[in-house]
Order: sequence, then structure tokens, then C-alpha cells
Amino acid sequence: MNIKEAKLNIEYNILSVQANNDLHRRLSEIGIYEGGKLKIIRKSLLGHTYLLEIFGTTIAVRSSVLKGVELGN
Amino acid sequence: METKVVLVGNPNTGKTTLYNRLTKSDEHVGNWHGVTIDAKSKSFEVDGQTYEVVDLPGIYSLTPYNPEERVTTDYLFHNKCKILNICDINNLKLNFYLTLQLIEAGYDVSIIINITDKKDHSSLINRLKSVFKDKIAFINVQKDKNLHNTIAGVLNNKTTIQLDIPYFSKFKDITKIISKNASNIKLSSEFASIKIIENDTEIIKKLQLDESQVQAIEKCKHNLNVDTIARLRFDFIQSILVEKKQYKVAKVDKLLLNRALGIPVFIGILVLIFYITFGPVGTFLKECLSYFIQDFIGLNLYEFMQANNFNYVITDFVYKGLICGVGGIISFLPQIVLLFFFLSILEESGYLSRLAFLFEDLLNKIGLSGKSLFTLIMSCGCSTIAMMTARNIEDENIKKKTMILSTYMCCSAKLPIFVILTSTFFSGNYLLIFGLYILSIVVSVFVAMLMKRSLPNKNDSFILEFPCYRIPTLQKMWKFICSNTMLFLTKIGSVLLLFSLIFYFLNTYDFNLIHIDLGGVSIMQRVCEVIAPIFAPLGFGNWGAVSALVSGIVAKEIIVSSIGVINGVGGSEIAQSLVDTSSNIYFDTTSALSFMIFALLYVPCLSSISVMAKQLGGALTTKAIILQFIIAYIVTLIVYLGIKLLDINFIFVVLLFVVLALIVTIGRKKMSPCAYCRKNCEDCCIKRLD
Repeated sequence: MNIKEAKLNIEYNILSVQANNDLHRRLSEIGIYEGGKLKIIRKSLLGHTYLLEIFGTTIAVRSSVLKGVELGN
Repeated sequence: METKVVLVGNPNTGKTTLYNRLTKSDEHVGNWHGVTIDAKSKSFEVDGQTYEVVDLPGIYSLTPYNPEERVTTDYLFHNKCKILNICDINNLKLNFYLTLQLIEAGYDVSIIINITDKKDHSSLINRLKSVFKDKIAFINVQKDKNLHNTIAGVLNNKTTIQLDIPYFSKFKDITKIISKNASNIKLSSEFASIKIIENDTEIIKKLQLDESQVQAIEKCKHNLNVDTIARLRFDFIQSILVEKKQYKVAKVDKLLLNRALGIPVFIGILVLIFYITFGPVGTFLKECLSYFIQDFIGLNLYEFMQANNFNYVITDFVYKGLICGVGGIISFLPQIVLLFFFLSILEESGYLSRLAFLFEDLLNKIGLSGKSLFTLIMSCGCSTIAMMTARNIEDENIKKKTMILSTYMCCSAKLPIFVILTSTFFSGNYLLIFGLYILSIVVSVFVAMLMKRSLPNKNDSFILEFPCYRIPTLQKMWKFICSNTMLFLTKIGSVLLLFSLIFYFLNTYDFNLIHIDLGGVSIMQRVCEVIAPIFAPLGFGNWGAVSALVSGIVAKEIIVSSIGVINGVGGSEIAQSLVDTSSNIYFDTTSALSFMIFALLYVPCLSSISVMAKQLGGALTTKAIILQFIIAYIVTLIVYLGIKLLDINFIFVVLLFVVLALIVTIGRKKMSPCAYCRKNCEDCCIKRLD
């Protein structure tokens, strides 16, 4: 499923990540990589920015950055 | 011999705090990412051995993503020295990702784990000690009393970290192919292999691989890619850490990050700050200092000089130039200190990062980033310093726009003029000053939208790690307030004193260098009388007001000192002289308001212009200054004519409609370009997957 369809406070498996090279590398450095896990803990006012929990750390990420992230249960 | 040590780590792990404590320095520390923007170095000594410590901006990996990260990675690639890798005990899984890369790259790494809380970490500490042996130390960077000896002990240990990295075997074929190329650039071949798989173009270019090597590497890559590298590294880190960290949402975040309440709570906090700074507390403190400096010290000194027959020119300069001019600015110190006090709380507590998240969507709509908010809020203190913080924004155009917009914010230097005019013409209503802050924000939104096309965003990727909440320590707040207050006082003691002297001379002598008390017209008056008609439509077409604005280009604080000098009064008399039509500078209620609005928005001060020119280039800086002057003129003209010709309530309704129209227009705009296709598409990634 796309990140937009993901529900709050549920841990998802990251099935695949599609992004340009630099962004793909940066995402992997903060723990968003194929085979990893993430949880959306909050959405911003207009819902275009997500607050993610990765490895027990909170990271704010813009939704456009996560467009290429496919999630699964 | 001096040992060079480089502090490396993720952002906000305590590198600069450690640097300050080791070298007894006073570098700025903040509870958000990107405080350190350049390399700094200083030495310290332990048992006769000298260590040169270099503090560098925080990084997530050895591949840079923004100019600050490049400062660090370039330094590391060009200087082979000992590395002190600082990690936060509460964020080890992410922090060790960089540690692992440093070890892979073959650096002499020593690890410092910063224990920032009082939890029991004994099992984790024992586990890490068994893995990293004597090359790891556990300290509280802020409080540890034996800091110097602990650091020296770790650095002097001759052993190196011996990690049996299991995934190296997966790259052995590539390692063989590139081993010579890697040794030529003094890089471990395993690390170079990983960077090839990660498609790090800079390292690939440095390796200077020939065509046959490239083809051979392609055959060896198999299924290896960025994701597999990350998975292998994080799995290995997990095998070291064993325990998984459990995340708990901070209770206060439930309120501060609430979609409906987050922004109203922030506005409430701002109103409270304004009430304390400009309301009864701030005003009382200001009046006390004003009485002490001007009515007590100033007048006694003046009377003493007169009684002892001091030279007339010196007595006149001391009274008009120093007591009325410079003394007038110093009396605003309590309010400026209060403002910095609240800014230090916002910065230290970790709330700034939450605000960046809260406002990211709105700021993105006008072509900015949530990270711009750091700079814009800090520019309420001093826009010159705040501009430097914009350097951690990845997108070059967002960075430029943020820097330009920071000069529209109401900095502390503009406060004295607002406080004087508000107390004289608007019964000291601090809500008017709050309204001026809001106006500067509304104009900034408008300017940001104007710049959206000429400076379009190139990189839309907003990624920001949240720091933990911290109770601001008195020591850090004291340092923050002192450094900023000292900057204000140093400015008064140097630039302002010099220019007050120059403006005193220009306002007191005519072109024949004869004192104007003998019947001449001052140089400043002659010049400003030529310019003054331009400002007549704004309601302050008298030469004195224009002269004060001209002097304000040097530094905004000088506006008040110029009024004191031009009207020849000091202390509480400055305010009274402004309603006296026989004074050189005088206003009525409407022209006072339009003067405040113009002073709020017109060109930035000289120090801000010089930083802008350095960061943005001369052409863009010139355009930005001209645009700012035109906008200030138009906005002031609209408000002045509106109030003069129409009813003030009508103007208020019109302004309300303009704000609503802006909100609707912004809301109707499509989402900004996506990070992949750079177009306004909604589903490009799905197409890519197909």
C-alpha cells in the first residue's frame, strides 16, 4: 500500500523504496529501506507531512519524499 | 607534538557541548539540528600532551546531502586524523550507522557515548564495552567532571576497533577489482565497494575506474543495492545492541503537535511572550534603566561638565550624541534581554523542531520549508545571525528565499523605535507591536509567493529528526542571553558609537563646518530636505524623520539615537518631543503608525546586507533590497492613505479580506513538485513501479 493509505500507530513493513539516487540513499540512512519497518505516529495540519517512528526515534518527513515507499503489514 | 582530533557524529548529539567543555570555548549550542555550520578548532592540554580539537557540522553518512555536511565530509577526506565519534545513548541505532561507515572507511575511531538521562543503561554499556573494548567511553558530556582525562585515555589507546563485519564478504569480488584505485585515494577498498553499490558519484569519480573495471563491477553487483546495504548495516548494528528501543510519545507532544490545537497553542505562547516583554514587566524594567542612565547619570554628568566650564563642543556632544543618542538605545536593554530569554527557551527546549513540523505544510505552500522557520524565528532576535542558520536547508532556492525573508522580520533592533512611538501615540498598547509582527509575517508570505516563480524549489525533501525535549538549563540560557546581549552592547560600543558621532556631526554642523546654533542649516538637513518629498505621501515628509531612516540603514538601533540627536533631547523627553510640531522630527497618530510600518519593512541594516551579499551574490542582494524598499513604500502608503481617506475599521476589514484571500489562494494551489519527477504529479511513483 501507498504511505497515504497507511493508518496511524500501526507498524508496517517497508516492501520497496523507489526514489532518485541521492534521496534513496538518504532515506536508507535514516532507516527507511526495503525490509525495514516504520510507524506513522502523527500527520501535520494538512496531512502532507508525517511524523514517523523509526528505531524508536521520531523523524518528520514530507509525504512527497515517501511517495515511492510501498508498505505492507 | 599536537594530536589532531575531529569531533564527528549525527546532528544534535552533543559535539559542540563537548568541544566547549574540552577547550573552554563558548560556541553556540542548541537543541535542534544544524546549529554548527562550519569547522572550528581549538586546543586543550592533558598531562603535557596537547590536543587540537576540530568541531564539525553533524552528518548522517560520509556522502554529503547539503553544504554543511560537505564541510565535514571534505574535511574527513582531506585530513587523516583521529576521530571522536559522539553518539547519543538514546539514539544508538541511527548514530551507529555513521560509526559503522567511519570504521568501514578505515579511520582511527574512538567512540564517546553521551548519556543524557538518568536511566539504567548498565547492560547496554557492558555489551558495548565487550564489542569496542577500550575505544569506547561513556560520559555525560554536559556534566562529567573527569572529561579531559577520559577523552585523553580513549584517544591515547593504541588499539583500533576490531569489528568482524559479516557483510564485507558480499563485496569481496568488487573489492578485488578496485583495491588499487581505493588505495590511491587512501580509502579502504571495502568502503569504496559499498559506495560503488550505493552509486556515490563523487567517490566513483575519485576512484577513476576504467571501462573494463566498470563492466566487471556490474557483473559482480548481483542483487546488491542501497536497500541491501542499509539492511546489512542496520542488522549488524542490531546484533550489537540486542535490545530494541521502545518509543514513547511525549505527553506534551499530544498538545503541541495536535492538528487542531498546535498552531493556536503556538500563537498563545507568542502572545504571552509579547505581553511579558512589552507589557508591564518589560516596560517597568525599561523605565528603571532609562531613569538611571539618562536622568541620573546623564543629567548629573551634563551638569557637572557645565559647572566646570568644559568645552562647549564636547559638552554638546556628550549630551546630544552620547546621553540622548547612545544612552537612549541602552535603556531598551531589559526588553531585548527578555526577548532573548524567551528565544533561548524556545531553542533549548526542542520546541523549534516541533514547530518546523507543524508549519511545514503551510510553508511549503508558499515555497519555503519547515526548516525555514528556525531562521525566521531566530531573526526576531537578529536577522544577521539568523541568516547563517539558513545554511542547513538543503534546497539552494529555499535557502535564498529564507535569507531574504529573514530581513522582513521584526528584529530586536527595531523594538526601541516601536516602543517609543507606541508609548507616545498609542498609550503603550503592546498589541500594536504584536500587530506589527503579524504584519511582517503577512508581508513575508506575500513576498515568498512573489519569489515562488523566480526562485522555484528544486529539492522538496523535508526530513527532520526530532530532538528530545529538554528542560533549558540556566547555564545555557545565561550563555545565550549573554552572548546576544554582548553582541548588542558591542555594536553600541563600536558601530553605533562611531555612527552616532558621524550623525551628530552631520546634524550639528553646516557645510562650512559652523555649529548650527550660530544660525546655519545642518549638512543632514540639507541632504534630507531633497529626499524628504518622496516620503511626504507616507505622512512623514519632514527632513528629520527621513534623516533618522537614513541613519537606520547602518543599524536600526540608530533610528532612536538619531531622533534624540536631531531633536536635541534625551530620556523620556524623546517621546515628548515627537508630539511637538516645533521639533525637527514630529508625528501625529497616523504618521507615527506609517513611520513604524516603514521602519519595520524598509531595507535591512548594513551587517545583514553584507551577509546577504556574501551568501546570495551582489545581483540578487541588490534586487532583494530594491524589492524590499518598494514593498515597504507600497504597504505604508496603503495603510496611511487608507486611514486618512477611509475609516480605520474599514481598513481593518479590507486587510482581513486580503489575508483570507491569501489563505484561499495558497490553499487552492496544487502540491509542489514531487521529489522524483520534479513535476506536479500525484502518482508518478506508481507509474514508475508499473
